[in-house]
Amino acid sequence: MKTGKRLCILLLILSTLLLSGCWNYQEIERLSMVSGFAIDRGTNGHKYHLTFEFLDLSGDNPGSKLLETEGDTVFEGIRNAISKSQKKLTFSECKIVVISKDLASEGITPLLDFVSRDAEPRLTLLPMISEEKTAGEILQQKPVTDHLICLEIDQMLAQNVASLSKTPRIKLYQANNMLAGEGTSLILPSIKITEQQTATTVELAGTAIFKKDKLLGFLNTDQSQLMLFIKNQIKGGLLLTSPDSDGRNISLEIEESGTKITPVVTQNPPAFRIDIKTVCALGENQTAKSRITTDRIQTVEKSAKSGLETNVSNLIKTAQDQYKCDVFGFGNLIYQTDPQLWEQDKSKWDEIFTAMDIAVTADIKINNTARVGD
Amino acid sequence: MEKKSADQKEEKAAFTGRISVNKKLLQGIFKNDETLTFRPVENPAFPSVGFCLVYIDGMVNNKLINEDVIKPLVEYRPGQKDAVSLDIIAKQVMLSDSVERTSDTDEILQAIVYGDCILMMDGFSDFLILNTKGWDSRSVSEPENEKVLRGPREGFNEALMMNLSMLRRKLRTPDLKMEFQRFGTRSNTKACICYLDKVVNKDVLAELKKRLRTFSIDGTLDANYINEFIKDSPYSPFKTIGSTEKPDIVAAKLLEGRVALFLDGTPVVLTVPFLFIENFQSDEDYYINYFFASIGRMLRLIAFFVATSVPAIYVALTTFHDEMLPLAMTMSISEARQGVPFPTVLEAVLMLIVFEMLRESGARMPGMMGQALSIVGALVIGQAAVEAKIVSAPMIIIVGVTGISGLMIPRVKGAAIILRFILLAMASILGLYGYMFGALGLSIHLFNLNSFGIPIMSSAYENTLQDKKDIAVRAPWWFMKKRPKYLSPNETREASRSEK
Repeated sequence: MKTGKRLCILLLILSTLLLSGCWNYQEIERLSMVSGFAIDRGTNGHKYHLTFEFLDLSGDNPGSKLLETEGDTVFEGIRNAISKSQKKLTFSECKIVVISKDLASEGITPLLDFVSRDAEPRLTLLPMISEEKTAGEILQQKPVTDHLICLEIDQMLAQNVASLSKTPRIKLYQANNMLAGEGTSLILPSIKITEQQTATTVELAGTAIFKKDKLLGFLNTDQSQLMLFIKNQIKGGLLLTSPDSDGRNISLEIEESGTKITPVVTQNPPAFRIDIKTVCALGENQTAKSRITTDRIQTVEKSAKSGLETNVSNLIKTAQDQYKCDVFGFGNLIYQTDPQLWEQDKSKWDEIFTAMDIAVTADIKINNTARVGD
Repeated sequence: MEKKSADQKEEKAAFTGRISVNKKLLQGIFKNDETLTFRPVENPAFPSVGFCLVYIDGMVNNKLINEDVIKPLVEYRPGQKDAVSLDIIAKQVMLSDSVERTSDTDEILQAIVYGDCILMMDGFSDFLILNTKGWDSRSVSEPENEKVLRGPREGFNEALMMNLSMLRRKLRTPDLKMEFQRFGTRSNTKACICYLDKVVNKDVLAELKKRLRTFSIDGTLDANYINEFIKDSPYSPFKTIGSTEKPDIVAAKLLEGRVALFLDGTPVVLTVPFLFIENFQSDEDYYINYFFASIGRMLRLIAFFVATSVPAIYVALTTFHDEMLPLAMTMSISEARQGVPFPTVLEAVLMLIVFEMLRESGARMPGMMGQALSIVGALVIGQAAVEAKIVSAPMIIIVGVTGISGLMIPRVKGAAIILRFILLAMASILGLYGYMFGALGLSIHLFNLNSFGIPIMSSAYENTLQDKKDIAVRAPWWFMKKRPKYLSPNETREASRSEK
């Protein structure tokens, strides 16, 4: 009895200790932290060419180093890195994946499968599309403030969302949701290289739009802002308007913005009503009329409202005429409000979209004018 | 006198009415002990009757013997008709405050070794025991390890009766009971059980008395001798019997229904039962504003967590779960560890041992060497070891924080050190999973512990506000209307505010 009990306890302890899967003791300095990597089309017969940026802690200050490998799958490319570096690449701190535009136009799903499936990369990493010829050259740029270009891009995107709202910030799991969702299409941030006075550096370039998982084209930063207005993802940023005919501008700082899209399914094809409600502060006045009265505020509000309405309508028109694809995800609203109708329209949704009637109304309030004495 | 050693028994009941015979007997018992002093005295009024004082030099107050014993004995002039008898000497002549007449050999020998003086008289086989105890004891001072900034500063010393008087001065009620016992077959150490009769939990009291009868030892030099004999779960590193050197703490514990055990020759007083939370309570908590007291209490609870867990968690995070650290931290730790030859676990164990060595040497060495210790600790082990890349700087921080937190909770210091190494070992094998294993095991152990029939974690699973009043937060005194649960059958504390 007593020995049986003891044996039982011993077995329990041994099985919990030996059968549980937590046996990966690894000294922290033996790891190579990858901060981000780029996927390009391979050369020398391989399918993919990968460029990794990883932390280099050998000097006094942390810096970055690049490593390039080839492979027929993304995973193979990553494993091949072991034959070039003594330390194992670790992806737990990987912030971004840059994908070249020609690979993206062939379909992005197989490229994101490894990072979604493997245990190490987080689902919060940020995929993005390079507007340059290759994605690898993005990682070769010098960061302006950070030690690592990938961390810099990560921070740039976070800042952009909070106070510029001119490039979307799509995490891996959100991208996966868009790819798998009904009536949604993927959008990702895009990135390019620009000239500065003495050197080149990276710049967030706007939005890459997709049909299913294939790259269609790019929206510039201004169009991206309008896109974010439609997608109700504006968190901040500026709205410029010129109320007078002389073309001089007033900057409105967006404090709060909300967009409501109402599908009108009673008519065929279905129509949509977009209502944008934005609260702004008047942040800069370059117009000839320096005195801001209540009437003047109303004028500014009116001009900003009509400007925004026109711009959003134009963007939708571009999508309808040029890309002929519902990049805004209106189809998902139909799916949610009227699933049966969606089942009917699903197969020819992009045709329906191009002919659809979409009304845009904006409501802009200025609640703060930071008075300057005159 | 329940405990007699074999050699004492042989001499039993051999005293006679003749001084010279008795003197020989005593000399035989105290053979080779030259502190035993015989002082023959005669009274000029009846020189035929001899007296003899027996005492141990150094244990008695000589002034008392001179003035209260010898002087009245020599100067006594009996009336004509009275025959001098031991009874008359005891009642009419001796000025001593306690005079006892006895013929019991054990009692007499005990009295002699305890500093009393024996008066022998020709023609009587029984003797007088006179209270002449007088030896030097340390003056009342503040205990080094229980210092407070505000509140009573007196501490116990090594004299039992003085300690009891200090307690009596705090609790002036006939309800305070004091029962004496002796421990140690050779040391014959006096001990005293104290409690408040109307407040004490009778079950605990009975259990304590029962356990005190269960062991025997030749000498009890400190309260810990008894502590280890009567403790619940003797193999646990956690205390289940409290100890303190301050009368105010003992008084407070008695007021909550606990029992105290005083032992002669040590300033340490044991109190039972001992709940886990008492490890984190300081007497000062009750003497200062309850907001600040609560902050201190919470800091001590956090310190227990830090002192036991931080090295384990650090090792788990850096060697198993690096993805849980922010990138900037991973970078700085990784950078600091470049070139360090040892694995993180070994580094942690080495540095923790070094810290314990520093602490132990600080506690043991003479005061004026403190400077040398801090130089060795800060410069050699801290700075130079990091510069020489033998240990990494983050590890120094971890060990420093852990060590300092350990010093904040002196009552569980020993348990914290043991746990620290156990948890570290588990975390180094299985990461955070192993740490959680250790933490769960620790919880199971703690919730299993009893102190004299009271679960030591009983304060943790009671749910009314009254039961939580003295755990992480020290509630104001007017809120403490009840005594801690289980400790006292008389739950209501007489604390109240008059409503006007």
